[in-house]
Amino acid sequence: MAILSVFPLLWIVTTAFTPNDLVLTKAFRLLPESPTFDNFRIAFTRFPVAAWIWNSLVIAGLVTAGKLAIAVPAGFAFAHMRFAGRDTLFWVIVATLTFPTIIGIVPLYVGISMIGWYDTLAGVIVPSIAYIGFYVFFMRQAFRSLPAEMFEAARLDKAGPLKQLLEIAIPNVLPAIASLGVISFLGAWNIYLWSLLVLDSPEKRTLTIGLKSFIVIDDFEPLWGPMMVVGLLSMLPVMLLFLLAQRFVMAAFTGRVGE
Amino acid sequence: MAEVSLRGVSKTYKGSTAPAVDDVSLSIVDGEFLVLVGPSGCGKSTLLRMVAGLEALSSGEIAIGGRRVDGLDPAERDIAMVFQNYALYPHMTARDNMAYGLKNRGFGRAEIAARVEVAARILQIEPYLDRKPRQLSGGQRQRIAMGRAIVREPAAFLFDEPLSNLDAKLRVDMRGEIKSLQKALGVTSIYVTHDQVEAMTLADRVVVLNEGKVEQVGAPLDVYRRPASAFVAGFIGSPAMNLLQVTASDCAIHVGGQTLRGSGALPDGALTVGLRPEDLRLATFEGAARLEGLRVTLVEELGAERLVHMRLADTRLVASAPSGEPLGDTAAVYLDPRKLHFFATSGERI
Repeated sequence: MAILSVFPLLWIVTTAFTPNDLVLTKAFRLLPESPTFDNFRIAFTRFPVAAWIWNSLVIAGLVTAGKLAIAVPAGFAFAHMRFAGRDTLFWVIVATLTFPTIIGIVPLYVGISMIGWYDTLAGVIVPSIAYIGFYVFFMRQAFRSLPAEMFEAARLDKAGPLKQLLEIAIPNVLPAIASLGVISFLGAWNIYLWSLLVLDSPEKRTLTIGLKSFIVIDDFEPLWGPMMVVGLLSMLPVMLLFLLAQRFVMAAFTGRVGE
Repeated sequence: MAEVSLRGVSKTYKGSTAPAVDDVSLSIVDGEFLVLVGPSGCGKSTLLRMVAGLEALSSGEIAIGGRRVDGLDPAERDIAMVFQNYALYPHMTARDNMAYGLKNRGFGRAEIAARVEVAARILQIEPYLDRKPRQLSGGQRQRIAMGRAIVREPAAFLFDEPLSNLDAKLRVDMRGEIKSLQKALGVTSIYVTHDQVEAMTLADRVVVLNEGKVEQVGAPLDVYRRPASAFVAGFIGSPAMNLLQVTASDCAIHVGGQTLRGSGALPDGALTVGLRPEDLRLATFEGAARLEGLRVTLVEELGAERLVHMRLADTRLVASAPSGEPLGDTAAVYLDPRKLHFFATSGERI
């Protein structure tokens, strides 16, 4: 099973360093016969790969920041504050988890076209932030792991709701926030269908959308080597991030979010 | 330091018809140590939380130091609270935990440091000030929580079962420390517990609560010696007072098919007789008020004394007796008529 999972990854790495005309002519080798950086040169000179990397980073970064900026205070409010309609509102938000995102694509597309966000990064970022039900639920559960008495003590210590959130609650759920950030970043980094619909100009594309350019550009054969270079580049930040935050992500998925 | 007064305080939770706290009026004088005691769900914690401002009142008034506070935020009431689970901030050191409330109130660094040092010295927690709560034992955490209250120099301390999470020995030690600390500081204190031993040992006055209502207010020994109701009689004291369902007629009590005389004038009919286990003697001589043929069901040795559990028909009795005396399967007990408590079927003292 591990070999099956790792094989495509190895193929991507090997192909990225194999001359394009040799990619499909030779049997698979773990190490390329004559390693080359030509594919990197081709990828970066024939396509705006640097812009794609930037776009991917901006989208993933801002979607993550936006989701956390909403989900963290919302989760805290649902967990530790009393206000009219709190439980009803929470379950409405959770109910959005059952809503298949694909159904909303056409009205969303019409909406962002009407407000002039077609072919802009904002057109990808803002609607992506809005799918936040899971994030609010996750943060609410994380904050619920903290005892209510701690916030009552904070009230007696003259800490208002904002201070309670920033100075008491957040420092105690940092692993949960970190893991949620990683989950969000990975999700936003890999947005495909929505970016494909919204982003049109070549320099506005993300790495995942940019990949397909290598298939249609050449008359003779797809640029497998440069394509794998971009594939490799699109995987690297994700892998790095996952390795760095592995502990938090595992904690998040095993329910130890408040630790 | 200040007087705390509650007038007609009630609380009914949304969706509930029965009040959690029902028309409670109390006046706690300056420097007094008042203990609210009662079984789980009697409303004692709710009442304390209403004084703290953590629960809204359904009706009534609360004043601290002559100033009405029931409409104020908890932070504006000049009170400090110690919670059952300590409620320390896990990411802060003990020092920061104690300083946090002062910082939020705009105290200067030097003043905060001085107050924390003084409190740490009083509570003997100086070596732990730079540790985080998870690096401290339960007792040390409880001291930090008390330190957090002390540094504030509030008008009143509120304690919500602060010893419940400690082991038995530490609980006894901390109980003594809380009492002497409160005496030394002279701060008006309201203390909630379900443990009547804690109530008896700590309180200047005890308030016994039952189903949201005050059953009795008084000095611990007064409440112990002269309980105002069968509920108080059964709740205060360990082991609990024996409560016998009896019928009375012609100045005699009928219980378990036997008759006791010499208890004085009583209304005829069903009533409850109370007798403390230490006032129930295993009969070694012929006495006037004597029950015979009780089946011994259990003997609990406590060292210097033992508790003898007995049954007479459907009536259960516990007697506290010196250890070592011979005991058979059956026993006779002598009841001192002067030590009997009488309660009407409604529970009120006769």
